[in-house]
Amino acid sequence: MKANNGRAHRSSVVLAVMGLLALCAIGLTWVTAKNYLNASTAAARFHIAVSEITCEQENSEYVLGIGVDLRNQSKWDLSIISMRAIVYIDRQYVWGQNYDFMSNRLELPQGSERDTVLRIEVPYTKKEIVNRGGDNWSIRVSGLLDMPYLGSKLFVTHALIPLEGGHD
Amino acid sequence: MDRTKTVLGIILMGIFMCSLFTVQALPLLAPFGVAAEYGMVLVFLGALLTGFLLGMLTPSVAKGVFAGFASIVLGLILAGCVLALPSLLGIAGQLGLVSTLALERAVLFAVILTPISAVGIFIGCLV
Repeated sequence: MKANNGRAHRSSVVLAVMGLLALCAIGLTWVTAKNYLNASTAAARFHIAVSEITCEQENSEYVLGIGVDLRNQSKWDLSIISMRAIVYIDRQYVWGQNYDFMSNRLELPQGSERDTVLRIEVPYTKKEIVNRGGDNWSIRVSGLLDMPYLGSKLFVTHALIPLEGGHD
Repeated sequence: MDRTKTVLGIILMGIFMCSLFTVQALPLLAPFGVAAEYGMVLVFLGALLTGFLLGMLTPSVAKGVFAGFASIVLGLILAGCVLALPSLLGIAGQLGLVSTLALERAVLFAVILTPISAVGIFIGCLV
């Protein structure tokens, strides 16, 4: 009987400690989740879109220009560390290029918009595909965005876009 | 009565583990800086503490191990819900904040943390 009472008392103490820990945990989760939702809202207000694609011939090589619109409607200052653009014509891979902004970051202050052109030099081996052309120019732009509190985060956008002004 | 107390213990420790998993997944958003550097240590200590308390609550080691596993899994499910909040509330944009890697890590956690909580359960049963 005495042992049972002792065990019941111990269970009550253990449950009380567990309850206290759970209460602290709820507070901790609440604060973290609130910060997380704020960060997610800021992330959701960052937009990237491919506006146009141009094709020029330079020294018998094609140079593609991909116009990218960047919008930061969040309340945080953001910056882009790196980007990667890949071009496909009629679902066929043409070429891709990396852009490193580590030393000179693309700054996006809060509420700002920025247009930038990513240039891709297509090697002569791919000349035929570009020459043949096609209506379905598909572009995939991805990159790393530096966010306060969160560090670098991946973004990606796809666009199916007609060639601006045809082959120049 | 014992079963009710065990279930209550599992739920309470599941909530406790959920906060540690959340802090570990989002260390830079946690209210204290320790989490950023010692997130993993906190999770391991949390699992040990969970095992210890459940070991003190349950009548046998086998039931304790099951309870420990259940509270870790409950913690992971709750943490998953917290991490999916932006998507559930419809505010997720082009930028994903939580990678699929985090979900794979959660499954690994369940496997790794159960033996650790079992150690705590043995200690709890001995006390």
